[in-house]
Amino acid sequence: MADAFVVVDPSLETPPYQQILEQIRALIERGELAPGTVLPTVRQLAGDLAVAPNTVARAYADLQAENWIAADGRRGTRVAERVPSADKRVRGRALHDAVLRFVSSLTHRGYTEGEIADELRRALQLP
Amino acid sequence: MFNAFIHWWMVAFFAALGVWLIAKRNCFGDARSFLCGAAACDDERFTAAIDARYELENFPSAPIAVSVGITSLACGVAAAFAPAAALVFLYAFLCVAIAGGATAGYLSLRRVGERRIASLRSRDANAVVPWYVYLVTAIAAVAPLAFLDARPAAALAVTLAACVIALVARRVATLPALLPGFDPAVEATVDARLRSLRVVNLLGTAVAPAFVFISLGRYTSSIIHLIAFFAAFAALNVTLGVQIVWMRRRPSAAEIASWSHG
Repeated sequence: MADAFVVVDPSLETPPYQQILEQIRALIERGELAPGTVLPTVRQLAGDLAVAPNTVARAYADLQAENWIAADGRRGTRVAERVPSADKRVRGRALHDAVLRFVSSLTHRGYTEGEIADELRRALQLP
Repeated sequence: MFNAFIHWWMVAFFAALGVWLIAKRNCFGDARSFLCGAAACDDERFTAAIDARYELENFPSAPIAVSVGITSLACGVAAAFAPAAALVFLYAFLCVAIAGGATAGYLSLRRVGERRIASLRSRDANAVVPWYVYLVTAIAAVAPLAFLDARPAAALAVTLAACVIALVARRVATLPALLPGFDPAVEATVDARLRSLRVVNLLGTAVAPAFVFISLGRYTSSIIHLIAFFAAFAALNVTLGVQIVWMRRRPSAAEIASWSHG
């Protein structure tokens, strides 16, 4: 399986822990992180992303509380063997919220709705 | 006769190393110089990832190489006028200067501030180089202690130098990954290879003082001395051999295939 990556964009209004949480959850939902996959330690991921260890620890704690990942003692943190079923309505709401946050952060930085729409069209290669 | 030969050989070695470092000051310890052999492949993504890493690191090659080069030249001058017994101390001093350069490089890598992308693959610092490289380095680093009865001060100084350099190697093994973010799958491979090469390079530098110390002394009076000599000799060859092979290692077909899914 190919490597999976997470990105933290400090210019977004979404807090870094939330960005990490949402990306890992999405990777598990899409099957890019298979059940049982060992995740990096808090220290490793925090170092690689240049964020405080507490940021990653909080994301891991929330993912664990939602049963996406499981702490496995000395063997580290792993993707849960039975991940929560991805409810279509919940997924849709998460996407809606994420897009709203994304658009909101860009409008706060001075981009117009037209500019954002044009760029999205280009990014998604839409006509 | 032999002592005079060794003495002037060491003077020449210090001078040649100093000149070489100053001449190669712009390509010393950076991503391109370590991966020069691997970069000779036809894979454009791999070459581009090495270039991106080189730009992001902005590794201070010149100040480090010039500092160590001047130290080596100074050791050469000192060796020309010093008694043969001092050669080991001078070599140990040079190795500590190299460790200082490595530490400066390590600190500069820690300060790269644009790191914002990370692989979710778990890394094990103990697996950065094979276990046997760590083993032979550990044995060689303490091998000079077998000569505590003959040259206690020099044996301790050389062991200390080896331990300092090995400690820096360990710190480099645990450095955070550094991915420029243009092509993360390939950049993760470049990061892993560069980390391994830098660690094995430092481990080789750590065992060199022990080997030179034992070789210069020509102590073969006991079985323990002989074992220490062969341990240092083996460690030096293993670390150098691994480094040379790794520097030439090109991306495998499996790696290139995995990048296409990244």
